[in-house]
Amino acid sequence: MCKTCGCEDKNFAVGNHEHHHEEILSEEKVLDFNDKLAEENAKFFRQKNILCFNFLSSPGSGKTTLLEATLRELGNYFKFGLVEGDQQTDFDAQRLKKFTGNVVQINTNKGCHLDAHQVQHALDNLDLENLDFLLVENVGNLVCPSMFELGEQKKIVILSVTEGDDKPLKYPNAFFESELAIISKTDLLPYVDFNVYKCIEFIKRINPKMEIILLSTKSMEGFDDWKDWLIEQKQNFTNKF
Amino acid sequence: MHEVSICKAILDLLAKKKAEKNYSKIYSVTVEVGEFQLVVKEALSLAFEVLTKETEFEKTKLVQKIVPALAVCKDCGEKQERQNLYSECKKCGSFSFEMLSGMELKISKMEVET
Repeated sequence: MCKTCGCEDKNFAVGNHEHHHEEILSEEKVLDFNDKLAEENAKFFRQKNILCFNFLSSPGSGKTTLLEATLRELGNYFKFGLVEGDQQTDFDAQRLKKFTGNVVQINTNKGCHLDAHQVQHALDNLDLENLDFLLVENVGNLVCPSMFELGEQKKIVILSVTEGDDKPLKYPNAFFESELAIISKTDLLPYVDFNVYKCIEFIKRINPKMEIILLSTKSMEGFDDWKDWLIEQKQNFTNKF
Repeated sequence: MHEVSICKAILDLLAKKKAEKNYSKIYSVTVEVGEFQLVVKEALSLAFEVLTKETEFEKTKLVQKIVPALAVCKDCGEKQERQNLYSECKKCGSFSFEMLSGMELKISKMEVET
């Protein structure tokens, strides 16, 4: 074996070994495979007039509870499909199945995020006929999920008031990539040191155009803002495609 | 540890290129990682070491090049390097930017044996 390059040219010992090293320049995106599948998903959603949102947050911010309330309040008016991402268990899917059977649970096991391929397979097990909304609850994690496109129209980041008002600056990427931030569990504001104005200022530093909704699924305060936002998004999406 | 997923994507691309172009060996691969990308250099190196063990890429060297986060202020037009995603414009204090670089994750170079 050649000690210079490690290649296994048997003639190198007799002096006629040649190296054909070449430097190849490239612009290949590392996550191109995922991006292409995400674009396929997005195209499919546009064709079927399905509005897809990708929910990002830490574990325990109230994503599933928000989805439950959304199904309860709007389930009679719109057809929903749901994809639940968790490392283990189908607890979240079971909770949502009380409102609709159109739910798929994905267990990522050791994976820390959902990817476009997993969502594509989840679609095989959903009733997509006349579907209005596909809501994808990503794995509870504010870091990795923001890197992997799923084909969604928008990312929505949720932050509960128990997590601290400085969280946007601690985990800025999820806030940079999202278009709506929901500050949840606002009924707990009297009991925690959470400065809403400071939190909004931090979010706007990262993403000045971010839309923000404050709500509580316990008191239902602010929930109408979320309903109105969803309906407006649906109208805009339908008119666009 | 999404670096494992990223590393798998890099290795899939290398295998595809190697087969397509008939390279007999890939000596090194240079990956450009934007300053604001969520990739930990050490974790990606470790994932590469582990995932290439006893494979055709065991001797391939992974080079990571960190790309600074350059941005243009949308309010005053000042071009600058940002320290983080919430840093303000050094000239006018705005937080409204167009990012020019710092978010990339791509293979920029390979050294191969043809």
